[in-house]
Amino acid sequence: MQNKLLNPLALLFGLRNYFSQVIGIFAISIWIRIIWLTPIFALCLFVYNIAAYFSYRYSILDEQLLVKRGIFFKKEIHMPYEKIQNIHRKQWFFLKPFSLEEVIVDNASRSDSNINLIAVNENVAKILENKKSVAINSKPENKITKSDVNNSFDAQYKISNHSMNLFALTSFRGLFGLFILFEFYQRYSFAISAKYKDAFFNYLGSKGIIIVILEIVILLIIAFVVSYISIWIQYYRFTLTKKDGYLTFSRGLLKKETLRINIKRIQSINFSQNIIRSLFKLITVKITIISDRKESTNTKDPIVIPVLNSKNLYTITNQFFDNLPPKDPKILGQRAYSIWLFIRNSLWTLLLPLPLLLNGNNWLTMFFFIEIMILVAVIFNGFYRYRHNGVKVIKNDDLVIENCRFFNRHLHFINWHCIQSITLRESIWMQKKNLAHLKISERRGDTSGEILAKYIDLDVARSIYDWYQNQ
Amino acid sequence: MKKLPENVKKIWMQASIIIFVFWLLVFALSRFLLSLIKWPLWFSFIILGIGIFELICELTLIPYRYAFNKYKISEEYVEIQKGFFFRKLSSIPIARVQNVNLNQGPLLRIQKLNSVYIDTAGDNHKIEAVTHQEAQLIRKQVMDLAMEAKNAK
Repeated sequence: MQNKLLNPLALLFGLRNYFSQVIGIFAISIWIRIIWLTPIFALCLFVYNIAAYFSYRYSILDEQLLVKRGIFFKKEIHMPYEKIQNIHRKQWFFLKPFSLEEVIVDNASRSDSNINLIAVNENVAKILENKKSVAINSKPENKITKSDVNNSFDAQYKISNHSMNLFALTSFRGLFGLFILFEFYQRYSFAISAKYKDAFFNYLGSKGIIIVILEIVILLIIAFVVSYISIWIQYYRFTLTKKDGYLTFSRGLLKKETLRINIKRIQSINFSQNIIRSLFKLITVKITIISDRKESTNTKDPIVIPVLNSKNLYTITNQFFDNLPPKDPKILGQRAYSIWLFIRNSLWTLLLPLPLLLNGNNWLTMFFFIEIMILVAVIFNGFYRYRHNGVKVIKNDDLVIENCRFFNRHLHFINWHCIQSITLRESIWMQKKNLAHLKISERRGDTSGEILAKYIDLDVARSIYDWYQNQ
Repeated sequence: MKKLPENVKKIWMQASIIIFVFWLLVFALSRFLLSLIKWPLWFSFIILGIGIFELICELTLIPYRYAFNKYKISEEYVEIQKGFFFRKLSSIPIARVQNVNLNQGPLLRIQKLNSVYIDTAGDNHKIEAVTHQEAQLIRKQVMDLAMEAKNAK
């Protein structure tokens, strides 16, 4: 296949961008009072997009994937098959009847050399996968015996409706939605005139505290419903398959995304659990992989199993990953003194509601109410972080690190070979208490990720440091 | 563990003086701006105070900083230690080293010193200052060992 064009439907994807640019120019042309600029610009842009479409050619050669693009400045991207890191497929529902999909090929480089084929036939990804495995297998070092039967797999996990509901109901995404609203309000509050704002605050102040709380509850419920639906759409029919040393997972209702990863390229495994899920003993399994800069965080550390009951956590995950222990490892290094340190470090949050006082006396009860809530959360956070904090070396030179951030508990499993460097941090005050932080750096996406165990016992941290050094 | 060369102290002293000069500039600018918006002028002395405080801290801490900045290059790993109040001890296995970069700012150039950056696939680590010959030696040694470790795999 040489010098092929993308499917003409690829032009559709450019439309949204096209309209937003035209509208932007329209706004500017009104502002500078030269309205006739808009149609000319729109026409030029249209011609440009068409020309760009026709100048984009891809060829699947014997050793490499080649893309030529550019109208004035020609660019050629050569990607040898053995350098391909991940092949990521996305299929919008309206492309399915045409058996088209978007294929993103990345080679984990820092420059923007990943190839994004916006609309190509479904078999392109298959051809690329085949070529890639042939290119890798022809080298003597890592020969993978390939099974001939196409439909068999080593292990598979499909999400059930029940666990899907659990996953969607226990998500924190609703709260994040509220945070985003808040952020928007803060950024654009200057645009709302002061008169309305005063009226609003008077309205709130005139009513009792109970009504205010009721309104917050209603807002929360709406946010949760929205997050529930969006998670269903995003993770619809989640499937994880292991075959020939590769993990493949696919998900999505409106846009089906498929990602195939070599198990050897997995940097670390992360069992994470937010506070709601820890009540129901549910755990999410994530992995960290090497990918391109352009990939979103969703693919930097993709979720491989959305929700699992802690009862069968290790039996299921052991089918997919090597080197995991049969049950929860006993973590070392907790120190009771760290409770106070964790509480102390988050005491600053008590200052956050101070601006409420500026609005006058009728907010005083509200202010104290919020302060008490925050104080309870801070103290709870101290104990929670202390409970789930520590490190341990298990068999096969795997390091286990447990830590907490924002009431999210994480259990990381990382092999010695995937640790890029290790840092021991302590202040002179911590030294008196025999405490230290341990920082592990790993590869994540196109840069580094770090895993931090804070305020653990110095002797335990030292022993991990020595273990790392003396391999 | 190896200490940094003696004249890195001079560089730290010069650097802190340069930063103090910046503080002085900000001080002068703030006096001008404050008089422009008709705020009390004593606000600017806060800036001066911070500047002087920082200068004193930086200068008094130089001997400690010197005593606690160390590095070690062995066959298997590079180890870097930093900081007095907040101590940091990092270990990078030689096999993980991707490349070694030498940098030299104007202050370092006057003293004929180099700073050495040791990059892994993810993060990077810095040795603040070593003599020029030493820097070349580290670069060669680490890269040779890294090549060896990679080929041995």
